[in-house]
Amino acid sequence: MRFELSCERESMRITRIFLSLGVMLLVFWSLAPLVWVVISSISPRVELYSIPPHWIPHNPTLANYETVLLSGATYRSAPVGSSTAQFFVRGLVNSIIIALATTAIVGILSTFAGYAFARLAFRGKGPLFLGMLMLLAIPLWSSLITLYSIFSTLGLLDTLAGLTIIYATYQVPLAVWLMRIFFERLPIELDEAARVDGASTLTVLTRVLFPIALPGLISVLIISFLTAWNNFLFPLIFSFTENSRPVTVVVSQFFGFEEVQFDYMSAAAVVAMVPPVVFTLFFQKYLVSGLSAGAVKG
Amino acid sequence: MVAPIFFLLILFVWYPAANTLLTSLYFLNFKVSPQARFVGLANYATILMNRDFLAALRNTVFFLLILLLVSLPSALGGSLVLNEKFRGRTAIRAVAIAPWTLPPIVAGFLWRWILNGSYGVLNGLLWQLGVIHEYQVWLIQPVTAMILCGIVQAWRDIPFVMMIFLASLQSIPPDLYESATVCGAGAMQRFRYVTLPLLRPAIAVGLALETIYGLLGFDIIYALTGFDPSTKILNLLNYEVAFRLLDFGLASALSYILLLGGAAVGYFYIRRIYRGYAF
Repeated sequence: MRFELSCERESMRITRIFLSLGVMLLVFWSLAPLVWVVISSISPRVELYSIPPHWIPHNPTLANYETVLLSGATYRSAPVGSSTAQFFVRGLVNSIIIALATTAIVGILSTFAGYAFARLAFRGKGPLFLGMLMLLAIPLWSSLITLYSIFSTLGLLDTLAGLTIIYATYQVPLAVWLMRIFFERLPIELDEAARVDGASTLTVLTRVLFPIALPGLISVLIISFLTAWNNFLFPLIFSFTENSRPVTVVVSQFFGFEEVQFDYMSAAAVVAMVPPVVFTLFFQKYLVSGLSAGAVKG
Repeated sequence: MVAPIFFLLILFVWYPAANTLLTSLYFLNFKVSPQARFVGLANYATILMNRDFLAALRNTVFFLLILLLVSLPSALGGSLVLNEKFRGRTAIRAVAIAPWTLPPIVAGFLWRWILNGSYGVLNGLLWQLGVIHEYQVWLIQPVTAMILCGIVQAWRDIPFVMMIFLASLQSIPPDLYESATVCGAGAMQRFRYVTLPLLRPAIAVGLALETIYGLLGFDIIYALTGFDPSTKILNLLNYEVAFRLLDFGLASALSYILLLGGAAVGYFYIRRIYRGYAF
């Protein structure tokens, strides 16, 4: 008996060691690149381009942020007289508008549709759901090529409205599916009790189920916001000027493929990372439940 | 209640997709003329015999292989760590999710800077540790570049797969481990005979999703190597043909070839989801 106990303790110790190693590895792998870009963003160019690298800058500076956000050097594809900062700040504003608008539209549409798929019976429900789900898995080129012509006809190319419509449309399938899962987790007795009291379908949704499904909706909203904020391919195709160019595309333009301004790029990257990082820190619980809901259900 | 979303989907997804299928049967190159000319399956024949297509196909397969080999085992390892109870677990989990929340294009640039041949920090680190004696231009050698693209894509995707695995791990009843321990199973045996079998569905989902992500990968490769032929996967080729060469006919045909590949993987995944519902 005593021998077994000491054996158990021994294996506990080995587990602890492996665990600590695992945690350290996980933190280093996930965090080191982010830490390095933050360090780069506060390094003067001379130190940034030193060999070997200055792990901690000797003369840290906020000059790169000042350039990117306020004053600005000459921007690669800018008309004469305009600055990096103008383009970058405009990109930020565009991104915020598009991401918020997308999130609002997706939130409203997916709440109603998710509820309908979870609780109501209607004609063509199965095929419609399948047709929607397919979009989770297929490459989008087949739609995008013609969409370009459609947008050109509708005058939606290079507009914030155009990008919002595409983002919302392509975000809807995942959002509806998640909302359906969240509604299905609620006991059907809630609906029945409300119905007995004479509530209409709409009342059941808005007054009874919605408040309880709110955490699920928050997950969907956060994922929608992040997806819209992070998107790069759609604006690369559908935006040509600062009228609609979001921050992801502006950041990519700090990267001329010949000459790269890594100092400005780092500062710009850090600013573009702020919303995602804030969401991760404050809404981690919702993010995790959103990410894993689909997988557990499926 | 579902009408608005189907209005959007029909107008901006299904109708365009059908029209693209039609376009794939036409010669339509805006650099030549805005006039479309019916050519039957000629576009498909052109693509399947094209050297760039075959190179991109090979790159795609190689890229997927690296991506899956790096991301799935790492995600499994990470999820096992996060499934243990220790102080600060919530904070560590937030740190572990971080790479997934960044804009992929920014993640790509971040790594391009780290891998930079003249001042990159990877060179600095390896040089200071004495692993290399002079700085290397990592992204210039074709095979190395493709491997690195796969690793960076994995860096971004791992958290997502990890959360899927973690959710599955947390649904395993603790009694199973207790009984296994009582029966004399060691840590390795508990993993082999309890964890792994119960994790199988989650691994299947992770595999399918990661394959789809890989096929749709664009931003990270674009940031790392641009349209360099040695790392150009089909998804980048499709963009190039459509929006740089402006050959919409050819690009449409290519998009349907790509769609076929995506659908083959997606079929399994979608069927899984769809089966869970009774209509």
